[in-house]
Amino acid sequence: MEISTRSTDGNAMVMGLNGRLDAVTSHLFEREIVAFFSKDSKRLALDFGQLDYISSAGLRVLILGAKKSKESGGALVIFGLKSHIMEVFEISGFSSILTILPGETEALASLA
Amino acid sequence: MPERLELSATPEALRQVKQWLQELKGRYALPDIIVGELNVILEELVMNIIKHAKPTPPSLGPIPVRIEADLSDRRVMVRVMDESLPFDPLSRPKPNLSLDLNDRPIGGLGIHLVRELSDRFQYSYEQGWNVSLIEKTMHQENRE
Repeated sequence: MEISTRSTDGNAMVMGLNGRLDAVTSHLFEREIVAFFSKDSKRLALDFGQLDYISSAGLRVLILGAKKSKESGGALVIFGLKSHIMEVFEISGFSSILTILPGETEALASLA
Repeated sequence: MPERLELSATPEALRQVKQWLQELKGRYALPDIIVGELNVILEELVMNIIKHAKPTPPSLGPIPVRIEADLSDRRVMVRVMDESLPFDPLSRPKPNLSLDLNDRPIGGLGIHLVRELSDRFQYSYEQGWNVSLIEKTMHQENRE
């Protein structure tokens, strides 16, 4: 899995995940997301457009990230999910605890 | 169960499972969606063994793991076995998905995913081995 971070016109950042978010790679994502919400700028859009696979190890980090975002007074949204990733989100009851949006435009608008 | 993979309960097993599924995908022309769901099921069951299984005395580990699969165009049957003390993954509590973010625990979704992604999930203890039997039916929309 590769993680890339880019800034936007507004004060939000976009973090893109590419590949597999599983028990092997989830610690990399955990380190990034915990570091992000410990900094000053705390508005994050997660780009899952290139994410092919997620298991409970990845879901765990997303719940952790959402909690960190809330505790730090920040905001976290996720966009671009492939349909099979969305299915895992749905069976995990994530639509009620995470903000999931179709694309980057909607994600950045919600963080503006 | 014509297909078989022998492993040890170590994180390296996850890479071997992924590679094995890619081989099965080629051999049985499995749809990507089925391969992905099988991968999640197997990852969760293997991680459950790595985290919770206790070696049968006098063995000290690593715990032997065996995965068997029987595939047809209508269904996939998989047996995930580990030689350790009895441990029933189905005894793990079901997560409460209606809790709000503050009250949601950070983990505990692995076995839930196995239940939800499979059409049958049974546990038994057979001659020193924990056996999880998983069945997935190839639904019409999954066939290519």
